[in-house]
Amino acid sequence: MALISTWFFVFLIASLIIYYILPIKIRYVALCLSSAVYMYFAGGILGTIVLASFVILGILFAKIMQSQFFSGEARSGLKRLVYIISMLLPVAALLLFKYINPFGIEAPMGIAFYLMTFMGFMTDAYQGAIREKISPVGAGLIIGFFPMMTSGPIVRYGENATNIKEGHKFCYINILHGIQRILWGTFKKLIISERCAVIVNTVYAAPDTFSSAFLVFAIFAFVLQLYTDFSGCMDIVVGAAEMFGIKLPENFDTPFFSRNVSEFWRRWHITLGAWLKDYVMYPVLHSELFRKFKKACKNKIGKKHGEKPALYLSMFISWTIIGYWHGGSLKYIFGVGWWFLAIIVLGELLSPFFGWIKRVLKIRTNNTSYHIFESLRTLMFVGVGLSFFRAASFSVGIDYWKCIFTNAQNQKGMLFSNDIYSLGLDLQDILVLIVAFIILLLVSIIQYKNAKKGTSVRGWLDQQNLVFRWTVYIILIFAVVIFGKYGQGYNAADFIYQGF
Amino acid sequence: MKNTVKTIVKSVSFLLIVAIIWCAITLWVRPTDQMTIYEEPDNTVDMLMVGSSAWYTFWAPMASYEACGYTSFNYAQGGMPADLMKYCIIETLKHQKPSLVCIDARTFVYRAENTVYITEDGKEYLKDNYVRTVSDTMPLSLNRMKMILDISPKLEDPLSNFADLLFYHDEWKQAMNKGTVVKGRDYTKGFDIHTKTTAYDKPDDMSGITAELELPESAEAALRDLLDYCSKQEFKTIFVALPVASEDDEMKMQYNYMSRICSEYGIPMIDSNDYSDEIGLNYETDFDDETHANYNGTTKFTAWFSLYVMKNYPLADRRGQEGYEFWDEDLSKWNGLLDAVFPDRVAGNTNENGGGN
Repeated sequence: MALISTWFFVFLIASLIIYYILPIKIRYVALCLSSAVYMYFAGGILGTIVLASFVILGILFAKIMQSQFFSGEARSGLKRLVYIISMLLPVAALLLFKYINPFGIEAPMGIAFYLMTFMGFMTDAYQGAIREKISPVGAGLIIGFFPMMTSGPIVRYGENATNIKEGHKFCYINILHGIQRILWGTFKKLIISERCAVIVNTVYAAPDTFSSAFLVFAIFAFVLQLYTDFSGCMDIVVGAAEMFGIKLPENFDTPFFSRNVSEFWRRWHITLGAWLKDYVMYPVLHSELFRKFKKACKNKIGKKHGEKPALYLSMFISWTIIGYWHGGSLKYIFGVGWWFLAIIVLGELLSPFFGWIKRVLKIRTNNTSYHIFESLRTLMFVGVGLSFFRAASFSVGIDYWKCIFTNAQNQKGMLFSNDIYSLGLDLQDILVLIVAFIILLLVSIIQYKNAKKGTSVRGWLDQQNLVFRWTVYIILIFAVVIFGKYGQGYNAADFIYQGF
Repeated sequence: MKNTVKTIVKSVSFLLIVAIIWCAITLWVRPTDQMTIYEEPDNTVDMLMVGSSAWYTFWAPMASYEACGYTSFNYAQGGMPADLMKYCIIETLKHQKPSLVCIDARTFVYRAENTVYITEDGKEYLKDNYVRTVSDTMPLSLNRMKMILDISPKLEDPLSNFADLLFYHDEWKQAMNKGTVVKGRDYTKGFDIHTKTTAYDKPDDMSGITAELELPESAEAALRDLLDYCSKQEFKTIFVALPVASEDDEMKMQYNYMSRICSEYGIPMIDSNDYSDEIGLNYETDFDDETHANYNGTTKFTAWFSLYVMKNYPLADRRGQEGYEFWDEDLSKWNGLLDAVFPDRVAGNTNENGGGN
């Protein structure tokens, strides 16, 4: 049951009806049942068993670690052992299903996402970060609430459990906003992402037959494809949850307006970045070993720069894990991990030099044009990294870049000529893509500007007159239905991040 | 309370607007190359032929009109599943009052072989393309909804049958360019002219076989459902097994079985394969393929069946009647078509090259 399928929407409506029919105190029952049914139909028996096992284990381990029995110093070793086991199990499951896979079984749906939530939950329980008594229902739902199952977001018990498990009153605005988000998500996925996918697949299938201009164009098409795919998926997930009155954390915050790569990663897949920072980077940085390392570095190279090696090393570990999490292969470790680490570290090391250039050339940095320049520069770095993400392997990614530097004058060369049709889209599809991209850009600008003021696009839309609002909704609905790439003769691909 | 009512009214109004636009766009992107009985003026069709493609190659309504003055129409689609016929009749009755409904019996015998498929897990489904040619050319009505609802357990993707815009949405590019295709009254009245000739040996005479062979359970269920419906209507019904170039024992025995079931409901059935000599069928020259006639076969069958109807179900001669002038207009277009397809044709004669009366 894919997130964009008629069955999912029928299932969602049925779940909502059951949820709001039940008395408010036991509405969580509808969520638990829906989640179990969804997992069974979308993830099969194995997926259901694995998820159910981790839900039960999560509740059990968290309860044990929170119990009075382990509260004293005397039993801290035992508590630590429980924690280590609770962390080893998901790591083992990930290795077993995703990276080693000795039985050739397809990894259970969404395993990489809910196990991150699971591990975060275990760590919070171990560290005593969860003050309130752990609720089995809350614990079960932060791991297995059905909209989050396929692609996250990765949530934390403390911030989300109560909100998910408590019954929410029926609220027209929640339903309306949820539908808006789902509609916007399907617009991004079916109109933009699926069209970009045609271009990207065509070029990546035979990069040696395209000119450098097309190859570079395809990289940016992939960036757009990935963004609209993943953020579209998140819109559907967040929108579906919102219809139950549940507020899930956002995973995207207009990432392409970022001024540098660090900022980009704070705005792109936010919950994964936050998870790694909270559960990997900072704990590593504050570990005994790293403290000693920091101290040794300070003694050797001085106070000013002494902290940097430990920081970079902890970042290296985090970025490697980010890459590894996407998939065991080098293309992810380099393309989503090390490349960005290199840009961040280099940017920091060279910042005095860049500062000097700005001073000498008297470049004004506090204006829109410089912001645009920085955003485009960030986009370029992101594009380079993600070009490896899309390639079949790291070596294929290298070959792709070789083609970029050697195919300057190739067969299919001119972007603004009939050669454009060799990318797999006809004129009508290209026009639809351009118009949809402009709409996305305009909405993103409004989103970015409103975020600064603390408002949202939906808030802005809510303030408009009924005729305008309805016109927008109707255009969106029929744009998706008519121009969406799905159904007859074309099956919309699954979400890219659903594969992780 | 006031706010709740306001919200409900607003939501319903919005959904209504969406539904209206949805229907309009559906009609815009739906296939337009199949003209239907729904374009005919009300209450002008006296005889309705319902079934598979066999009807539209064997029965030429305009030829029958020219000879006998009967107004008939082939509500026939290639591979029309037997399960849909009842709904086609119901939909037609909203605008027409046929005195006689002729049902293609072959549809039931061929159902298992042609119009359904069995999945690996043993589930029987109707072939989507055959369902769509019927459901997607039917007006957006409650009857259509009921039809899809009733057959939905036999459909793999019932949702896109309910909302056919989801299925045809990708046709928007073609829809934008289809200005040349004109919807309107079909002057052939659902006929499709076939001119190819495939020669066959004359099959053995099966008329002596009286044994019966059961239909598959689902085909029989569809048959009984249709018989039950037809037996309660004002119009008369007849089941017609149209000629095939190779009727075998099994088929004959299934027709016998069908015939007995029909008689339980007081509805007659005729196996025209038993009358091939009377019809004058020449198996070397009158078939396009095993199951379809070319125009030679059409003229022979149409002439024979027109006489059969004249003897058993006297229908009104509408030639020259007030309100039927458009049939004469259509007749001249029809003759124009025949002149174009068979430039050497002489009225009343057939040639040996697939057609031309």
